[in-house]
Amino acid sequence: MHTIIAKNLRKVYDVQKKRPGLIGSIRDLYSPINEQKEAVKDVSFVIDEGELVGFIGPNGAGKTTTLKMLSGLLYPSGGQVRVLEHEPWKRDDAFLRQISLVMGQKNQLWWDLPAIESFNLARDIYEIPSSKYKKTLDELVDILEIKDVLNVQVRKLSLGQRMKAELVAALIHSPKILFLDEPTIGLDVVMQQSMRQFLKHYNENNDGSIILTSHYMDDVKELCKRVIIIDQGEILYDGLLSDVIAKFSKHKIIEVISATGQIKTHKVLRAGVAAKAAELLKDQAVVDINIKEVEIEDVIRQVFTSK
Amino acid sequence: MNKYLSLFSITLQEIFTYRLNMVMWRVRQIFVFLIPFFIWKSVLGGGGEVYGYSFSAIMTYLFGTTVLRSLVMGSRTIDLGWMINSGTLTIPLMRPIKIFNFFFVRDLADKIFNLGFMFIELPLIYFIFHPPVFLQTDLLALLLTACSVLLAVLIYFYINIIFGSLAFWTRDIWAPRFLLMVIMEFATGAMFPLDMLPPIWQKIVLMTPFPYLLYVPLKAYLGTDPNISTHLLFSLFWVTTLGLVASLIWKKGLTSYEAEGR
Repeated sequence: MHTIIAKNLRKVYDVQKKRPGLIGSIRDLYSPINEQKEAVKDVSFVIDEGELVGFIGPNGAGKTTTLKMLSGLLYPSGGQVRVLEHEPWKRDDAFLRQISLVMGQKNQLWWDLPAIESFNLARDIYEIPSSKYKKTLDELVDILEIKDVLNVQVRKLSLGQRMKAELVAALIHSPKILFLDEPTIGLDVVMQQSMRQFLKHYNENNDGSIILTSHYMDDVKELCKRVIIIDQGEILYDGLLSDVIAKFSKHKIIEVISATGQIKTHKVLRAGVAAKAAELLKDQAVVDINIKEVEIEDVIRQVFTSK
Repeated sequence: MNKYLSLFSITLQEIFTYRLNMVMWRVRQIFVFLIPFFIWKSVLGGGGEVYGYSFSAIMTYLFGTTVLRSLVMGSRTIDLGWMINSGTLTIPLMRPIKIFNFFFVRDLADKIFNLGFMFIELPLIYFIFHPPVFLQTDLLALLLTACSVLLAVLIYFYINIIFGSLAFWTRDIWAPRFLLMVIMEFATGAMFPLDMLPPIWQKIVLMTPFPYLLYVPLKAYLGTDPNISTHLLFSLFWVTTLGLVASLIWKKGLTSYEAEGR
């Protein structure tokens, strides 16, 4: 069953442009320049129950705008979107009870109070029975290892601790869809890894879908089978991550290892790999060769630059 | 119901976190009483009357507006504009809770907090300045006052929603807010009783929603408003009209909400 259906989704923002300098600022007072920026143009896709899908794209590609429209935060300028059979922007209680949105760059906990207060409030808002609440909270707090900081003001938590607390608050009502916008942004490598492990574990052990945006390829490589590559508001690719390389990369890499242990790499067109390998092996100094795919980061970069 | 109690409690906890802010706000409330007190003392302290008000009558009025101000004008919805501009509005928007209820419960928490402190401040003001206090004993007058205060609370709530919602379309929300504050200081009757104004100005001001915030409830308490039933109907009219306008603006505004980052 499709949990998310987006058809020709579009979002246009009104942007006020500023002229340069003081004179420009004065002119802006009586004749401001208003422009329309199309952040998302004609985007269509479907997402099924239990899927973990990654939206990838450079800054300003339209990932977050799409995510905000799916979660009901933004009103689409055009097209249709249905999430769990609801129109998200209407934000019906029944819809909001089944989803959660975590934004890596924004705090959604009560900033001045300990995280536990936000969790308790969520318990009452989502009307979670006490026993279920306690069980879920204990599980999440245990896996994410934040028991020690539950009673510390959110403002005093490190970014990593805060993100973990955000995840607890987002998952406490066991949503059917979790929207994650740049969940690892700003985190150190160890914390990024720990977040990924948690999300992987959560996805394997729960039925809900996870929709994730990120511009860290590691997030996507480790978590998502399916990716939607988006740039300038348009979908460039929607499919398996493993097929991205074959689809977009015309090259393979041949690593040549010499007797002295030196490694040389050659970037070769796919069609010419066998011939090039045979030619390289004729050299007496070569002891071994490896034929590899191009790094996915390079492929994605190529996708964006070739557009 | 639990969700609203929980929200009420968390709002109070949030207020208590900022101790210095809390203390300074209370000091401000005392000054709000002291400034007109000294002005009127210099005018009427030597005896006599102005527009039918003696010093003691005007002090009763000011003492009353100080109490009412805390109750009617205690508000967290005042932060709405900032919440829209900073994207913080996203937090309540993404929860299954009626957004107006969310803001109203937070307003109630603020009012209860104010009222609690009034019990400390009022005796203090009373013992230092001995303003004459009139204790209303007529039950009907008290009932009318309660109705008038309730309507005043709602009028102020909707005014704040409407002004806060301007942030959906513009980032310049401070100037309109200041303008509103200045108008309110005058038109609510916080600084002086509105029946001191010439009759034509009284009529004009009474056609705006502002006098129904402080002046009308206080006159209801003092039992000195011959047109109290008409004024209560006007209060009801303003609650309905402003409530309707607030809902419309809110619905329209949400379609422009961009949930920007902090």
